[in-house]
Amino acid sequence: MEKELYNRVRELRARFDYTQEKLAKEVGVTRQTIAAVEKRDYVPSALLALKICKSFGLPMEEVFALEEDAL
Amino acid sequence: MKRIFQSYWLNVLLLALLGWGMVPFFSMQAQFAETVVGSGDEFSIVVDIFPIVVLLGVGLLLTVLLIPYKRKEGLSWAQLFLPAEFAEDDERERAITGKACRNSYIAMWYVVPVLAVVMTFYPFVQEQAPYFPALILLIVPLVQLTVFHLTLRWNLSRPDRF
Repeated sequence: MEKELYNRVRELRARFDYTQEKLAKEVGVTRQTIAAVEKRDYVPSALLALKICKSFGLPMEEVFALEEDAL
Repeated sequence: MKRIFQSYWLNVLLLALLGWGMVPFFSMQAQFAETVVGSGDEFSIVVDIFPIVVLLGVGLLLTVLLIPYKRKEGLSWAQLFLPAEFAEDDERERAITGKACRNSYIAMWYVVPVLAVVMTFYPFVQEQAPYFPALILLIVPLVQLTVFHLTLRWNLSRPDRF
């Protein structure tokens, strides 16, 4: 069975007081794409994932993981 | 992406105009073939140029209106010649466009054999509608356009399906 990519984008956005719009602008995508990533409807590319991590100043493993329990 | 939905009906209108414009062309070619094959000394072709003028007029108008609009949107000259459907804003929209292209390609493999069968009925309607092949041919891009836009609409309005 294919594993899902879990993420903490919504939680981190709240912690860092980022709106979807602000984060989207920072990483160069549309607000809808950030919303889709948060809902796990869209799996971001490695590049976008790294940009999101960079904007939070966190390593990849603290933002994205293959298993929900890993986060 | 809103403009993508807007351009669907524009594309359908252009296809319809192209189909309408093809009718006098077929008539003209039929008359020309009759003159060449026949032994008549007279040479006269009667063509209704109204549909062709409308098609060229709409094409010219769209070119004049769309080029400054696209330039204003910051598109390069190379991008001006790409369909408006490919004006994606980010990687997710590019992925959705890719999926729409895939579905459109798959649809072609179903619609072409069906239309090939429909074409075999041409001899039955040849007298009444000599332009029949042109209209049948235009069904291919019409189906592709429709599948493409339905896929976009489905995936953009219901992102959980993507």
